Amino acid sequence: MMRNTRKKNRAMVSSSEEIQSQVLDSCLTREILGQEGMASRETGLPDDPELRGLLDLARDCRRTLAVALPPEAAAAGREDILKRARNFTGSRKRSGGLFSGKLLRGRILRPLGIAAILVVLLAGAALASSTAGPDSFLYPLKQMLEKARYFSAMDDRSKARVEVSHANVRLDELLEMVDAGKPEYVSQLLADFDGRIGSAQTLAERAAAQGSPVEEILALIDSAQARRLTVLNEIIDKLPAEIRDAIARQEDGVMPGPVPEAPASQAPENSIPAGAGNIGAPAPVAPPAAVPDAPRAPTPGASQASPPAGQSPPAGPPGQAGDPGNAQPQALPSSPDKPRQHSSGPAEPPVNGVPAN
Amino acid sequence: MTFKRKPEKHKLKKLAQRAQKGNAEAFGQIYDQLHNQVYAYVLRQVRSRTDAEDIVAEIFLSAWRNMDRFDWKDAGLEPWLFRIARNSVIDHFRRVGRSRESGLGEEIKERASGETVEDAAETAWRQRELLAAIDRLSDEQRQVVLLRLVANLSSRQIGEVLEKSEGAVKALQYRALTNLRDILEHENDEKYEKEK
Repeated sequence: MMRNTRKKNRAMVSSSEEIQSQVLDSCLTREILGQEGMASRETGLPDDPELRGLLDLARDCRRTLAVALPPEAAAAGREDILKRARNFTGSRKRSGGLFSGKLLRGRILRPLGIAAILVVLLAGAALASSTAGPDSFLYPLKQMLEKARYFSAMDDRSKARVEVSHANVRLDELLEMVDAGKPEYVSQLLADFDGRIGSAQTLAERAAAQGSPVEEILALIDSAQARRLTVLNEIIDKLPAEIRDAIARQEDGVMPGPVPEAPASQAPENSIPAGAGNIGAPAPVAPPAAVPDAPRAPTPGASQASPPAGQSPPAGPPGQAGDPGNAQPQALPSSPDKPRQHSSGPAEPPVNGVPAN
Repeated sequence: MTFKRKPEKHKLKKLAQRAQKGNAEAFGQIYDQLHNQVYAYVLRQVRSRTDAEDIVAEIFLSAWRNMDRFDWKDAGLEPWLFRIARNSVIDHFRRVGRSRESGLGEEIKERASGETVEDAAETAWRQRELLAAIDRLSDEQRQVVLLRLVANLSSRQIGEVLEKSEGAVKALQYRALTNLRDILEHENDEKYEKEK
């Protein structure tokens, strides 16, 4: 009973103190804001001598302790602060330039960080795309990088080298696709290969016309074409009949006939099954020495792309040359009886270093 | 002597925004509005006019340097400024020691013009008495009294400075005034006893 009463009394005291502190604060706020003087506020208060005494004391404190800077000191202080503040702004702009905290974080580090992340992402994607096949979503990136490499090559010889290199990559991809059981990409990759080789030949002709040595490039082209035949022979049995037929039709239309050294009909060990045309005939590769500093005679397909002498031939960019829709196996003669001219040396002597056709 | 009415909040906000963009003139206007409050708060603690003027300059310069860190809240600019002021005073005491005695002459010099020397002396004595009593309060109670009755901050703003709730500040204020009254009454009783 006694304990309850004490608790009750304590709660009442606490509650009374809380109310008094609220009332006191309210009165002080009014006084400070100048809305209403304490005196008028007091008239509305219950007759509480303690509260009244505290308000008097607060008023006394305010009145006695209030102090202001003398106007002249305030003006001088203002001038001094503003002068130093302006100097500080200047120095912050000058010295802070790169290294002040906010600037460093906001204008330099953040963009640098974003750029670094982008570079890492792009480099990672480029690296990953270098091994991507035509069935990969990174393949367009790979093609873009190939285009970039092509356009960054300085002269026709370099561009031709790049084209041959990319043509070889197509053959690698072709093998991968067959191994992966995706033969539907074979025709497209072959067409791309042919387009690039045709483009390389055109570029080599143009370089030769300008007097540059192109033996090395011609050798590369021949080597790539020989590899093409080897690859085709390797994969032809693994392809479904319809794809094989399509390739054979394509090859019939573009492949040279039996070359004197190794005609397809006389090379049963290399020939492909019936219906596959004569793609089994290994391409004769002309030794570079066989084309002494003269431009090779272009293949019919390539010669179509070649302008008349004196004009710059359109060296098709890899996108065009490699476009499976447009790429025709231009590099090869259409007549099955006609031997491949480029592999057995120039058909006609060049006039002033420019191919006759 | 009483201060002018408190600066309007929205005006201060605009000035603060302009000052944050590097406008020194806007900062000058903030100084015009708040320097007396800051000066009074500092002077009542350090008790030396020259020290107080130097510290006020330091406070405003520090505020200018750190304006970009200031984030406007409902309580306004004052709590942020008075937190700087409080820290500056603490730093000052760390440097020079906690001596708060000042000459009576300096206190008399503070009085407003038009006041007679006798009145000024009487006020100065009362002032010393009050300040001595305030010194005997706990640190939190002393801060509440100075921020509320000298710097004219609201309970909410004091709460922001001291990192306490508004209710806690009101309770501290009530207890501080009660203690102050008790201290003064006790001193008066002692004086009376001595005089007898």
